[in-house]
Amino acid sequence: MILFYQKKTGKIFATMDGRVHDEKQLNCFIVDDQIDKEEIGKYIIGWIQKYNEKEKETDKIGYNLDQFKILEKFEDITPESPLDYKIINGKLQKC
Amino acid sequence: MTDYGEKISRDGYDVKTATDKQLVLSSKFKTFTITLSGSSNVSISSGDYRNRVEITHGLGYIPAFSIYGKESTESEYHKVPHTNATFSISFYFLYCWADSNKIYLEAQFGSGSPANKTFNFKYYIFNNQIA
Repeated sequence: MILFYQKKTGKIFATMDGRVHDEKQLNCFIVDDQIDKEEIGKYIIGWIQKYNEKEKETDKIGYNLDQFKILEKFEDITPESPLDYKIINGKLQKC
Repeated sequence: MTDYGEKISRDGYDVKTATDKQLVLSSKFKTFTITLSGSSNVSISSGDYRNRVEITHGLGYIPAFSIYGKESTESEYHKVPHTNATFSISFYFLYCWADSNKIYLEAQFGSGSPANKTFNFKYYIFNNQIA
């Protein structure tokens, strides 16, 4: 999952679903008209998939996998939403 | 040419002889497939009447999309576009539209003197092209 947040407050305002993200998804961006683009941070929980030209294989690089338990809560049927969280010092915290 | 694919028939029908209507799934059928999905908040500060979130999909064509939204205190989601047109002074409109690069989610107040409000959206962007 890719979380988009305001750097100043840490408040998450948008998300992109998924556990493994490819280059196409990484190039996607979400902006809020009331937040400067430079003020928006991206936080990834899961893996980024990149094709390694040299090795002719796909590499998966993990990001913030220590937050995986919270990701599972966002994905299940409980009303836990990432939009009720903020990112402070690289960790998810409930608002 | 070799005929290949995958199909699943409804209960009671032989998959080898079933007609299309007797199938639950066939790789021959055209289906919507999701390229991006997620959620977003659109917050309107006191004194403002509208705000918008833009999702860059970068597909290079206008994709099919489906959006749902609600005011954050509501328990039910609505299909967007949605007009909350009750007698409440804080009635609102939720809009969405797309171009070949972005999907736009917008919330607007209809009237009244709005306080800070947050609207929750869920978006589904499909690989399927509409234009």
